[in-house]
Order: sequence, then C-alpha cells, then structure tokens
Amino acid sequence: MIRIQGLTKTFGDLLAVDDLHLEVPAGELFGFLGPNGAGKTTTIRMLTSLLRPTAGDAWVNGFHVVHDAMEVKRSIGYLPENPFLYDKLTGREFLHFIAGLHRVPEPTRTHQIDRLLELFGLTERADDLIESYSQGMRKKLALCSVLVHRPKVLFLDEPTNSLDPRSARLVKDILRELCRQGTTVFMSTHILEIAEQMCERVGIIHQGRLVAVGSLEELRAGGGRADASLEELFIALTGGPEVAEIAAYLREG
Amino acid sequence: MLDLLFQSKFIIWKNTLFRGGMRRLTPRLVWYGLSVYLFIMVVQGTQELFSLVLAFFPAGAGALLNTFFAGLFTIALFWGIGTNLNQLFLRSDMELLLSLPIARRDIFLLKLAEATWSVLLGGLLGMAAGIGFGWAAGAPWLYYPWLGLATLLLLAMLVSLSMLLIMLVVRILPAKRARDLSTVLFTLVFGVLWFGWMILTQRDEPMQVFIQNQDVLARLGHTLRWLPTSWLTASLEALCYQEWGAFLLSAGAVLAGAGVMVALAYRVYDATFYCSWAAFHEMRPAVRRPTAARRQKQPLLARLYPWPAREIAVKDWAILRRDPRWLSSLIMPLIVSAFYIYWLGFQQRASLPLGAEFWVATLLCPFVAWFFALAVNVPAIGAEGKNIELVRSLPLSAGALMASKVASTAPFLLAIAVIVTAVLGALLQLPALWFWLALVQNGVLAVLFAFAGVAAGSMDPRFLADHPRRSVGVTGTYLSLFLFALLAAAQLALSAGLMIALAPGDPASQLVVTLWTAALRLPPSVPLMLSAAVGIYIIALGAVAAAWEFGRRHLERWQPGD
Repeated sequence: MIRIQGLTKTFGDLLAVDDLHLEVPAGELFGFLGPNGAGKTTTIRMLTSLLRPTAGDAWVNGFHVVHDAMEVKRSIGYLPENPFLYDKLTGREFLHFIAGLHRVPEPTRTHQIDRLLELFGLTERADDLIESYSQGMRKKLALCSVLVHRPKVLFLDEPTNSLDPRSARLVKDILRELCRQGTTVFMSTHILEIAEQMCERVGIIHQGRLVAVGSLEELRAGGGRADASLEELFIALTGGPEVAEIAAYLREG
Repeated sequence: MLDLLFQSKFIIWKNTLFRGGMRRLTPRLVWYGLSVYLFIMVVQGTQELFSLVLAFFPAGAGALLNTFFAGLFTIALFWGIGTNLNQLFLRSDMELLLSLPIARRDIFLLKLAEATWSVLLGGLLGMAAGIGFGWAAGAPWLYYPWLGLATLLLLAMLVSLSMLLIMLVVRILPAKRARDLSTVLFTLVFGVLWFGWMILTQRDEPMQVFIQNQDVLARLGHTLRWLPTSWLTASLEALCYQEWGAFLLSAGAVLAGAGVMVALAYRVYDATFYCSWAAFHEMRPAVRRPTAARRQKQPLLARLYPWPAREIAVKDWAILRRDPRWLSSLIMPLIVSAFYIYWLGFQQRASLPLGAEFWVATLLCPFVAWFFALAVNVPAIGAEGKNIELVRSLPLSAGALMASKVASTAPFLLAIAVIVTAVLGALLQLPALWFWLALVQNGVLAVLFAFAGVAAGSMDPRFLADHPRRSVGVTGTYLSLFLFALLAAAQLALSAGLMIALAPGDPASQLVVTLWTAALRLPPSVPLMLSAAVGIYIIALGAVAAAWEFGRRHLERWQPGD
C-alpha cells in the first residue's frame, strides 16, 4: 500500500531524509518515530505529494507520489501536526468544503459529516465559527475532515496532540477499527506509549536515516534487549549520548 | 534591555533582506530603488513649486508647506492605525515579550518605534517636500538635520495619537468585536475624509488655486495653524530666515508636543493594558446558528459552477462576508467609485466635450475595476495564507485552483462594471447603441481583469502575510497593474475601431478621428485602426496567458517552506 525506495530530500546543504526504504502493507497501523528534526514530517509531506523528493521513489495505493500526485491526494487523508483550518467557516461548512473537493456525493456527504460530528462530539458546536474552537476541538474537526471521504491511506502527524484523554482514546479506537476494515495508517508520534499500544510495526528515523523498523519484539531482538521498553530502545537508537549529557548537566546543577 | 530588543529587530530585518536569496532580494531592491527615485522627484518638484511661490507670493510658501505636511501626516495617521493595532496587541511576538522580564515601558517604546517605521513613507514624502522648500529658500545646513529629526518626532506624535484612539475604541466598542470593527471604522473614517476633501476641492485644480488665489492660500495656512505640523513648518521657516527666537519657540513646541503625546500614550497603555489585551484576545463570538434548511443552501451562482469552482466559491464567499478586514479593503474602492460617478455624472456633465460621454463611461470603468481588482482578485491566491498547505494537499491542481479563484472573484468585478456603466450611462444619457457597447466592453474587461489579477497574484503570493492586503509581493502587484493597463488599452483601441466602423459620423467617433489625426498625423483609416486594435488586443491576451502559465507553474512547484 505504501512503498518507499531510496527516498531522499535535501534542503540546500541539509540532508533531511536520507535513502529511506520501507513498505507498509494494506490494513497496517505503522508508527513512524524519531526525535525532533529527524525527518518524520518531511517524509510524510513527500508521501502526501506536498514535497518533491530530491531522489528516490514512493508509491501510495500504487500511485507514484510525484507522477500521479492527484491520484495520491484523492486516495489519502493527511492530518498535519498543526491542522490548517479556515477560521471564518463553521465546522460544518469546513467539512462540506473538504468533502466537496473530494467529490463525496450528496446525500452521502451530509450523512457522513453528521456521523463524524456526532462521533467526535462536535455536533453542538458544528455551526459555530472555527475561530471560537479550542485546540482540541480544532484537532477533532481536522480528524473529521481527514476521514470524511473514507480514504484508503491515512497519514497522521501527531494525531493525539492537544486531545483530552477521552478523545485520544476515541481516536485510538477509530484508527484500530479503520485498520481492521483495511485502511492503512501511517502515524508519526512522539508518544511512545501510543506507538507501543497501537502499532503493529514501528520505524525509527534518526538524522534522516531509518535506523530500525519492525515489531516491538523484532526491535528488542535486534537490539539484544529482550525486556526493553520501546522508550529504552528509542533512546538507545537515537539519543544515548545526549541523554547522558542531560543527566550529567542536571547532576551538576 | 531596549538595545537588545532593537538589535533583534535589526537582525530580523537584515535576515529578511539578505537571507532569502536573489529571488527575494531583487524585488526589494527594485522597490527601494523606486522609492529613492520617487523621493528625488518629489524633492525636485517641490523645489520648483516653492521657487515659484516664493517668487510671486513669499508669505504663502509656509502655508503651502504646512498644507503638505498636514495632508501627508493625516494620511500617515489613518494609514498607520491598523498597523498600530497589530503592533500593540495582536502581533505574535507580544506573548513572548510579555512572558519575558521586560518592562512594559520598553515594550511600548519598541512598538512605538515599529509603528513609526511602518508609517515612514508619509514622513519621507513630507521630508522630501521639506527639502524642496529648504532648497528653494536657500536654507542653512542646520535646516536639514532638524528637518529629519523633527519629522521623526512628528511621526512619533501621530503614532502615539493613533495608539490613544485605538485604546479609546477598545474601551467604547463591544470588546469581542473591537478588533474587527476598528479596522472597518478607521478605513471608513479615512474614506469619508477623502471623499469630503475631493468634493470640496474638485471644482478647481488645488495647485491652480494655490498659485492663482493668494487669499485661499493665506486662509488655508491660517486655518491649519493650530495643527502640530504648523510648529514644524514655523521652525523650518524660522531656520531659513535665521530667526533664532522663533525657531527655539517652535522647535520647543515640536519637542514638547511629541514628548507629551508619547508620555500620555504610554501612561494610557500601561494603565489599560490588561483590559485592552483581554478585549482583543477573548474568544470570537459564535456565528448565528443557521436553520437545518439554510445549512444546505448554497448561493445560486455557486450552484451553477462546476466542481471545484463551486466548492471554492462557497468557501470564499462565506469567509469574505465574515471577515471585516477584507470588507474594509472594499471601502476605499467603493468611495472612489462613488466620488467619480458623482463628479463625472453630475458636476462635469455639462462641460464634457461633444462625443465624450461614451468615452467617460468607458474610461471610468477600468479605473474603478482596477481598484477593486487590487483588493479582490490579485490577493485571491495569497489570501489563502497558511491554508494553502491544506488546499495543496487536496486533489486540486494549481490550474483548477486558479480558475476557481477567478470564478469566485470575477462576479464582484462584473457587478461593479455593470453598475458603474449603467449609472454613468443613465446620467450621461448615452444613446442605446453606445450604452450597450460600453456595457459589453466593460463586462468583458472586468472578466479579463479577474483572470489577469489572479494570474499576477499567483506568480508572487505571500502566504505568510499577516493581512490579506499584503498577501501579494511587489512583483505581483506591479505585474497586475501592467496587465490591467495593457488590457484597458486594448479594449479602448478595439472599441475606437469598432465605433468608427459602425458610426463614422457620430461625435464620439469624430473625437477618436481628431485624436488619431493629431497624434499620428495620418488620415484616419478604419482597416488600419481595427488591425492596430486587434494587434494590441492579441498582445494583451498573450501577456495575460503567459502570466497565467507562469503563475500556474509557480503554484504547482510550490512546496511548504517556500
């Protein structure tokens, strides 16, 4: 469903993503982890046809992310870390706008929008301007907009940020159900517990390179630490020296 | 602390200028070059004007200079109100500054300096006029540094005054609407002042009045003597004539006036800060809840549009009617249109030369449409702001987005063109044939303006701009002006050719023949005229098509972070 071959992106002298190879089959919930600035968002933006790779290829739903950009965009849903919303539209108007551009026909559109608003507890505020929404409501509305056209692949950048525990739980349940129905979810997150609980496989990217990929058991086996948590594996792979330096700094006061 | 704040602002300015590569540096350098050229031209022009006035009516020179200063600083006062509002309460750096151990006085002084910088253009024009005056009057060297310092002081005084007005508005208007309403209110005040000024002065050329009617000049100077700008003028005059006592008195008035006004603004800012801050940052009000039937109702015109223009138009029209900042950008074009319709349709109707009615109706429309296109069509793509990332993540090509923006913005221009032509046609009693010709021509021109505006705006969008007015760069704005001028010229040439072919004996046609003969010293030739008109038309359409293609490619290549 997602196939990445040698994907590379540079910004001037900065190598943001370096020769990435990865495959994510249909129906999998894949966790994409990495420290700040590791290249997670750049990778997702390339896979959603928002950024052009400097080298390499990637296919989403069988469509090439550069040559078939429009088909890629039709078949995916993309939730950025800070969602883009039109403040002067109401929540309902915004969802109609997104569904319209995805050519979701009526009356399916209205039914689907009402259902999503209900599911995310936004029905009461659906006809208020988005500028009056809290951060959590904005995130929930953005999630509704990502799901409104029932995409085959979801790219989610920190989907549970700004959500209260109840809403975060709801998102997790929805994602599990979508995967069960065959939707592929490519999710970037900093919250390792979520990745540990939800993802069948995780990939860890560090300084633009994919340093590990596999299930938690495979990562443990690869790291030679049978009882290690994902957090311990993550730090061992990406932040060992820095963590030691921080601990030393704190000890010195 | 203040030096650190100014240092950081200087670094931001330097990085903005030099770290964007040649692509960003070049338009800025062009802009600076044009500004320097304009400054020199104003200095030269005013020097000649003041030489003339000093030769024939020496006592009126000071009044004229004061009128210049009063006009320019009044414009700067109103122009800067939106910026001041932003600087004082809304800028994204305010929360950061407030969270740091910085005295509020330092924050205020930083904001005062930034707001003064943003209205510097008015001050520079005033300074250019002042240099022209000093040059003409043979002023001593001390005159020029004092002019620079006093101009800055006067600007600081005006900015403080506008800050006080803003803080007053925040206290009077309902807090939740203060931010939106203040933008509309001040644009409206400025527009009404402009309209009133034009109505009062339109009977004669103002410069002609100044030169020919010394009484008017003296009266005007007398009327404006209570304005702070007259202190500046008096100090400059005193320096020119080396009357040191008068200079010290008027310079002291400028210094004291600026000091008092800045101190007063600071005291009010300090005392009311948290009330004002809260007023601007309260939650936005909820929109009136529509009924279930209305929820699904789309504007009739949008329902006629195909995908994706329908979706974009519905979205744009909903946003635009709720966004007072955008609505306020329509106030000035509306007032300008109303004034010229009134002036040409009522005041000048009797004095128009025979056959000029058709050309008045035809020429005014591009002028008015030009104003509206700059406010509506040119920023259409750039006004998407950061949401361009959302739009580009949807299955919508750059070309389809541009076409949709034309569809959503063209009806404004078309409506304006039809209304202006219809009203002027009725007032000037155009014959039916000429009326319909003008109407069709202006309608076509409005639609072409919409294409040209969106194309030019797509070539140079500024998605990170904090106001829709600034969402197109200098290159895009100038390019749009060039395309509008080219299209208007092509349309006029075509209608001139058509008119002569259709009704060669009509006074309107005779006017063209007279102008053609006078300009080219050639006998009128219908085939030659029509060929020339068609040629210009093809060039204009080619230029719009080229701009469209460049804009489309630019948007297609656009990536987050550009």
